[in-house]
Amino acid sequence: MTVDGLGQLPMKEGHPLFVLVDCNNFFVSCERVFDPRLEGIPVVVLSNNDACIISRSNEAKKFGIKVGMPVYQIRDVIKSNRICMLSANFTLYRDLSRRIIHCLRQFCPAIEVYSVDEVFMTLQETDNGVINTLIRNMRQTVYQWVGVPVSIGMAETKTLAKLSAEYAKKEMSTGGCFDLSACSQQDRDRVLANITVDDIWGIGRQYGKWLTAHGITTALQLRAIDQDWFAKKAGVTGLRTVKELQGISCLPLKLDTSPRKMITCSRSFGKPVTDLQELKEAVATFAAQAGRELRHDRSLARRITVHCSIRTKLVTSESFSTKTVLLSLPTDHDSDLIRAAVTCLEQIYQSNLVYSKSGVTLSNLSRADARQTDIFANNEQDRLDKLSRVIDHLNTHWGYGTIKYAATGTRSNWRSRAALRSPNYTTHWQELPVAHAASSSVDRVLDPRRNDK
Amino acid sequence: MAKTNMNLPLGKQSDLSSVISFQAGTEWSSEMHLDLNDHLVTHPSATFFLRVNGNSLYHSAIRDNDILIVDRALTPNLNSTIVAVIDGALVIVPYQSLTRCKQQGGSGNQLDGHLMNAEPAVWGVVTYTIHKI
Repeated sequence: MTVDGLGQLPMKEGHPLFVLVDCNNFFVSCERVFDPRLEGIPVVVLSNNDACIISRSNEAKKFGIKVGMPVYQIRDVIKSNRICMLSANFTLYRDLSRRIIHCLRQFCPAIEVYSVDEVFMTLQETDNGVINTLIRNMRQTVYQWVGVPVSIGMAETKTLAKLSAEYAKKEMSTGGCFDLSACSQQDRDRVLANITVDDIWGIGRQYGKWLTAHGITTALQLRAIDQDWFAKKAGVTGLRTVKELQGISCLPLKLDTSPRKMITCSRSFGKPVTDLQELKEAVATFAAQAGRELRHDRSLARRITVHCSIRTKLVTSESFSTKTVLLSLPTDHDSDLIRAAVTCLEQIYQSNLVYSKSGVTLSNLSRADARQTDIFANNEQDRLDKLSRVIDHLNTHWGYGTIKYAATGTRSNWRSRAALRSPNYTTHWQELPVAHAASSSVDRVLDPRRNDK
Repeated sequence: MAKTNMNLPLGKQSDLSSVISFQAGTEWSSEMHLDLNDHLVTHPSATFFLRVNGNSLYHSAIRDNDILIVDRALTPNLNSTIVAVIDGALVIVPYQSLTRCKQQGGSGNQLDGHLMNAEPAVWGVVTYTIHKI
């Protein structure tokens, strides 16, 4: 093993610096913007179907609640500590995420949206003081404009920027922003020594376990690992992480916004489903949802796959059945997608089985502007295009589900549980947040209409 | 923020738009309509719509059930009407009364009849109210 990666640190001048903006407890923070009563109390947000914890406030963390825990395991903790539970409101989270990205683009147009709550950016290294002011300004602006607190980390590589953001989040003294590139070698080592290997981006639980078993427990130790030895185990990906820890950038900013190669819509059912009709409605709904995303990307799909999870007697195991068809022509019409999806389902359905989840995947995607035409299809194509446009228009303006295909059903027993979902504050006119115009006694004096009564 | 495009009647759209494009070229979509968002919203990512509850600001032309346009990017001045967080609720108040109350000391005091436990915070600045006649 080499002692340290010291000699390999790149020259400081002129190198781009990576910045990671990471939202703090994003889903809980979104809920707090519109319901300030949630400020300062323990709050958890539940996944689809209210099954497990996907976000928790710092106050809830103190009770030992971790992301990923199933709700049934901690029901008592939640009850006895009066922890506020909310169903996920992804529509709201997506909207606030979009606002945050928009807000950050003012500071730097080179942005990689890594996930719903993480954004990578690059800044050219100039005077330290300038950059330091800039990232603090960025944090303050996002908080003022959108109301979501963020942590910002900055370093020579993406992996180090991620660790820095983590450090900024944990250490109150940083004020939410941490610039690793401005630290002395001693301070860098101290920071890396406090990070366990499983917390390093790109290492994951599996390699984390293996590394710990070999006595490598911190980021500092991993940085100095024998690279040939580690490459044999973890391959190029693992080696890249080590280089990145040493300050050698291997992962560039991904600005590519090319459309997706695959679109999947799937859900776990609120209740197990056995009935074919009910299953058809679910699959048709997913096909229509996927179609909407397909049109949003301006893509066409050629291949459609339906998959169903079957519940077995063993709670721990699940079995799947899938069916794929190739359509005669690439399409983005809901009616084609629904018809194909339902046909697939009919072929795999077995009446003696219990289904717990299903989904639709569209693949073999191509650009919609390069549509092939079927010489036998006459004006039908045009008519369907118009229909899709009208449906999307109505659903965008009046809320998703305003108009839908009858095949997607009205019974929806299979729909996920989301009993504790907050209003769609920013996307539905009927669900806007309420602003109070003070007390009722004042009201009566000032409102002539009420005096008349 | 979604564009408020005013589209032509759906059934006739293709026929009409072909006529229009014949007359005016391809720019019709950017020149032939007004977008209220352009007029009412300066900072789209910082602007939120809120529903007014109560009539105590009747004199400031903010009435029950109005839709309030609130811009969080603005810094309030003494003439601003703001939305503040008071005891866990979003409350519309003149910014002046908020600063007055802060000067008198943070906790346990009153703001327009509201008893407060925590220091009030500015949530956003009211820019417009949409009132149905």
